Amino acid sequence: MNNFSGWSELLGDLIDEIQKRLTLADLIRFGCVCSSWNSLSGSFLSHKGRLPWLIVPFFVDPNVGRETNCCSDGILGFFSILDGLTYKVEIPELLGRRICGTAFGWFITVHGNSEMQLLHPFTRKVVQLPALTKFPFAIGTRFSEEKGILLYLMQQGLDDTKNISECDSEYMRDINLYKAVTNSSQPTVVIAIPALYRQLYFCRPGKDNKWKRVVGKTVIYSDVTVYKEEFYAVRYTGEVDVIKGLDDADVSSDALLSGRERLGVLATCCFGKVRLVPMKVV
Amino acid sequence: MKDSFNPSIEPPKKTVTLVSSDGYDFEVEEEVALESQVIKDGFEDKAVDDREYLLFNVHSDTLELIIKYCEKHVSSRKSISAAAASSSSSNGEEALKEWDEHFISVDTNTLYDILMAADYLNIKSLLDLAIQKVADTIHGRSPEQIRKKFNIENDSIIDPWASE
Repeated sequence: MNNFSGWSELLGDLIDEIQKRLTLADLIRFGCVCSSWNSLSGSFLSHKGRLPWLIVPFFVDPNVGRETNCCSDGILGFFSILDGLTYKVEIPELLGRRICGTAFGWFITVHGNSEMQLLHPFTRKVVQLPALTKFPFAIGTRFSEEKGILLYLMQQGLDDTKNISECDSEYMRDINLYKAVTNSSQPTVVIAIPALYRQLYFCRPGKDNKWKRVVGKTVIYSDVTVYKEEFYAVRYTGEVDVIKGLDDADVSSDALLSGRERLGVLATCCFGKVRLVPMKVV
Repeated sequence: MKDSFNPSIEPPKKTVTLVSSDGYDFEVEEEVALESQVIKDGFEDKAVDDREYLLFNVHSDTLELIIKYCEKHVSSRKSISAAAASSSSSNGEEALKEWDEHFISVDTNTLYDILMAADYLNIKSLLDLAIQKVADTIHGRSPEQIRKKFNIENDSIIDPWASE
């Protein structure tokens, strides 16, 4: 299919005229069609002064959607700080999912049925991530006949395979994941911090089918963020770790966990000093 | 309109010839051709017996549509102003709007040709109509649906999983 039309080569003033007639959500999707439209739409969007946004609930029916921690009607509000307006955006793909992180225009969502996804609210592109059951401490699920709900079997401790606790799906959706981020607008790595163990777990969308731990189990993290495509994780003790080289890591998880050289180095930054230390791998 | 040119009191009607990019001649009334700002701008400079315009960027298929549009708009404008002069009620504008809507309901390839021709010939109302149609077609569609609809290659840096 090489016989493409001339639409992607429309000149700037025609594109501007088209964009003037689009809604906000249309504009953002418009910019995702091809690189030429993308380059022409960015300046238009910022000229309109609608960035940045806060994601807020958008209750169409005040009686619906306030019960749960997740998106119960597939509708979100985008509050523009600059023009003070809340834009309603329909995202049916978000139905029943909780947003446990946002980065570079993407949502990282989690569902009680264990699904995790990257979801772009405007292009509505969905990328499946390894499920909640693919964390190393998750053993599996069982359906409870008496309660009529899905129960997750989780290890009590990281190396404790004997003591198993059961968590219901609502807990897994609402509380199990503390935070998740991805590294760029074309995500190659996602890092998540589960609430229970507070270590860094990562996966590479489209490559990995499991979540893998990044650093040793003795370290507890309170936050993770991204700057210039690199992950910065804050330890409970206040130190900041820079996590590098995850997207180059070997695809096989066993090799990854034993091959520390392939992971590159971890830079520890403390009191203004940066020092490079070999990455610790469990 | 130029002062020297007033077709309503100047019978018989003068014509000009529009030549499409593929070499077909279209003889149209002056006032129809003058819907194009580009033709209008160059009109006075041309000798009366040499009013032929070579439209290198407009194929005969498209030119036929453009002429149809201009003819309709010239005649509608006349009947609307006639109705206004006799202060009789008229739904001419409403009817023209409907006609426009029907006219522009074409596949995206034809829409592209009309858009390009309207831009090239600078026919403002047609350009507006075509642009609005493009915007309406984009409205509510996902990037993938838009690509499909307009036959655009996905070379987007934003959307690396499009092949999935």
